[in-house]
Amino acid sequence: MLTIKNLSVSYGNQDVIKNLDLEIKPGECHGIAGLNGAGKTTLFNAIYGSVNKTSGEILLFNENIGKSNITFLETQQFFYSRITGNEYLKIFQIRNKKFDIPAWNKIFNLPVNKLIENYSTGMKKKLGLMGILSMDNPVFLFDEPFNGLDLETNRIVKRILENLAHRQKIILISSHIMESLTGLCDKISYLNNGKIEFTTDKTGFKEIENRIFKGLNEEQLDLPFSK
Amino acid sequence: MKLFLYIESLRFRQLFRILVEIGLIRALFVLGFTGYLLFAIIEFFNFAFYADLISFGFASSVISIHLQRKDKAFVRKVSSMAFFVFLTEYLLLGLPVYFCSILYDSAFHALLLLIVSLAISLVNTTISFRQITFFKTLPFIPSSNIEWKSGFRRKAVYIALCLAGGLWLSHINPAPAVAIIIITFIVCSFYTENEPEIMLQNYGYDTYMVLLKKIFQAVFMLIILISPLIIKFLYLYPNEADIFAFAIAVCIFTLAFSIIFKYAVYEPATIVERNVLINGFVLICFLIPYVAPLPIIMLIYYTGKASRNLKKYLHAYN
Repeated sequence: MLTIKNLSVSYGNQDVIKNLDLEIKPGECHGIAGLNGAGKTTLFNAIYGSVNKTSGEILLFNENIGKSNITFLETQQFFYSRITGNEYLKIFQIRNKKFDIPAWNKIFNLPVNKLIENYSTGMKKKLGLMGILSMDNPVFLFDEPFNGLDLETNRIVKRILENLAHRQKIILISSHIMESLTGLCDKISYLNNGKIEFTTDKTGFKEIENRIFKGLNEEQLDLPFSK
Repeated sequence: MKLFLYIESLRFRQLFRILVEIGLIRALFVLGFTGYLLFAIIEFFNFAFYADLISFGFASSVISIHLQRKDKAFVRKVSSMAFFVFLTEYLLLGLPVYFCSILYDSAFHALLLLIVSLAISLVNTTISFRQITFFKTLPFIPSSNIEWKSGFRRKAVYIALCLAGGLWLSHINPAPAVAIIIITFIVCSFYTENEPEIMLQNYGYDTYMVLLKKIFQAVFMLIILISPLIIKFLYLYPNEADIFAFAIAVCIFTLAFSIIFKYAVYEPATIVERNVLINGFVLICFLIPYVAPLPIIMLIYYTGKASRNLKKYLHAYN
């Protein structure tokens, strides 16, 4: 069980995450929805330990969580320059000798012998995803994993995430595409202004968009194009 | 032929524009001064004796010019004789050396420069190293050593030139030692790029073990790389082995320092060019008496700093 208790994160004087509580069980795929600037990426970074929390606790099975427990796919992928996809993936074989690069590449179909700088954005995303799949950690964080992926890879990623959940991994995923969350997650939390406004399970997914956009009235949609 | 002449006329126009920008009088002065200096150097150093050094300098310059020039794609696109265009230019550039070779009856050096000019003109006109599997995959570098894979792709030519120069000029005593120092400096520049956190974590979670693994890998590769120079030096100057051993020790120390310093200031997925300056400073310190202990103190200080810095990225956070 991943337990987040009373988590707060600030950048200077600005509180980005405010007293956030969340619980995710093993085998559960938990979606985080929210508008731009709601604090989704900061929440992921706080769990991963890339940003310092101001207060609160993040526990995995009642013990402090560490980087060795977490696999994190960031929104933006960074790679080492002048190395091929294959060389990048082989780094992951140092830790997981059983990581079968050709078998995974049959699924993702990447030109692994080419330099990564020649890859498209979607290809880089696939490569990053392939790398983290070699890691057998109990917690997986996916920050906007569907950005830049084609339709076919979208389906593959969904299948992989379902498989990870089936293997009792704790999955936390953010996306601004609501359909990708509702079609995949067991629960979705709506993050607004650094606070979880509500969490709903599959029974409430139909209503989720209405709940999120209830404040967005018709006047706000009156677009100021010049006439 | 018409196109070939047109490309060469473009070169002269480019040259003329540069000269106009400099100013005619100054340009004449610069050209005259350069020409005079060139012949003075050849005369002063006695071409017959230093022919190897001068020919190697010219050959290196030609290779460097060809690999750095930005107009290769343009010339290939507009001319089917790109090879001849480049070759003609390099033959023109090498004229002083050909002239001296004839003057001092040294056909070997002229022939060597001619072969280098011919070979380098073929690169990226008819031959591309990137298409050759050996250069594509670099099988002699372990896959866990990404810094070397990446660095070799960027700097292989310069390393090859230093190796060739060190071996070729090994009859001039300090040449192999100078070559290994330059090679070490090039290798240290491999460690200016910081890998993403996720790549680093694959080396383990013990900070000192990560540093040790990285240093061991790099030193092992450096020794293999400079081994031809070590063998040649020991063969030619067995009595000066202790001085050479000191030079190798300084190189190993500098390389280890560059890795330690990289991780002391490590931030994921960034490039820190100042590492090169620090490495240069460390190398220079060993050449100045009384300052030599400074890099050792720095190494101890930065090892602790590197370990503390890596803990942020490798250890339990919460």
